[in-house]
Amino acid sequence: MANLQDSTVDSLLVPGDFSAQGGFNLNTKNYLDVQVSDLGVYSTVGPVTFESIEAGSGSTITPNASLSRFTVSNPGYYHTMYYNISNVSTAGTESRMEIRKNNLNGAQARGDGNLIYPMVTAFKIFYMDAGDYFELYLLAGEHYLTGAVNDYTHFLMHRLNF
Amino acid sequence: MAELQDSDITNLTVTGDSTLSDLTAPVAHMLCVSKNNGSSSDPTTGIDISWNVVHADNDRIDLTNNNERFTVIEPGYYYFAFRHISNNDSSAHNDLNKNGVRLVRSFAYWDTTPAMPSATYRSRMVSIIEYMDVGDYVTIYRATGPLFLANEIFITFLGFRISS
Repeated sequence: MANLQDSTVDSLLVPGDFSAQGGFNLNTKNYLDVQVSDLGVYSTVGPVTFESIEAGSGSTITPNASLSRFTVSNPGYYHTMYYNISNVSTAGTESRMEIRKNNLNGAQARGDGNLIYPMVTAFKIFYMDAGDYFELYLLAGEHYLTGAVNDYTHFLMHRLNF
Repeated sequence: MAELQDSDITNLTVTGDSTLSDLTAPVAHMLCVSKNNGSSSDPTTGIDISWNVVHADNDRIDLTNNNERFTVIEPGYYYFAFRHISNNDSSAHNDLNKNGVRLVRSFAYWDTTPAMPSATYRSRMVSIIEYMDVGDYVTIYRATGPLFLANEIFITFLGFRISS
């Protein structure tokens, strides 16, 4: 067994699970991809309630029961991104949706109120402590949260490590 | 002394009296910034954006040259992405440049000839994976049009290293 005491490590690639006494933990598949498939035109102000989840093996991002809040247990930097199609039935009313951390403003995108199905996307890197959580929050307008194969809306979260 | 440089370890369990207190997790090199000057229609063009809000920074990509450049300190493949919101009836073109040369352009178009329907806020984004050497940098160049910079939530530029 290698003795790591007082070792010098310049570059260490850990593709699998890494565990040691003291709670040090790395997981290169630490991601969550949540989708909705058939909510249709959605205008409920508040956190979007998702319908399906794809999680990386050993992901430490945990959804709540209603799939609207995603809580981190492994502190670190997380890249987040969402995209969807906004649906506008009333000319001049743009749609607004944003990624939030602990219910605070994060990254907001808007869909042109005079287009029918503008694609919108937002992304941001957050530093997350254990217990911090993500939500995708609808502020205004209508979003087209549908698609038979979950192809119209995704909300991605993953921890930034190698 | 053990040398673990460039080691690959699939599963490592340390028991007994081993000490890992000085072992740093290989967090990806990354930087995420924004811009907030209170303007809902900032008209400035012909310059690189100078970022004034740092959302996340682990000091592994340097923000240089008046906070305009993401300068790489370790070579490798990087993912970069930029998004913005254009304001109402206006075009807004912004370039993601590497060392001053355009890689991709974010393009929100609106014109009066021929007449186009009115627009409200429009979101645009571009992204790219690019190999970067030490000292290479990327910037966001404001080619044309106003940007919605009323709050840092409306514009984001980020990058992180993917692999060597």
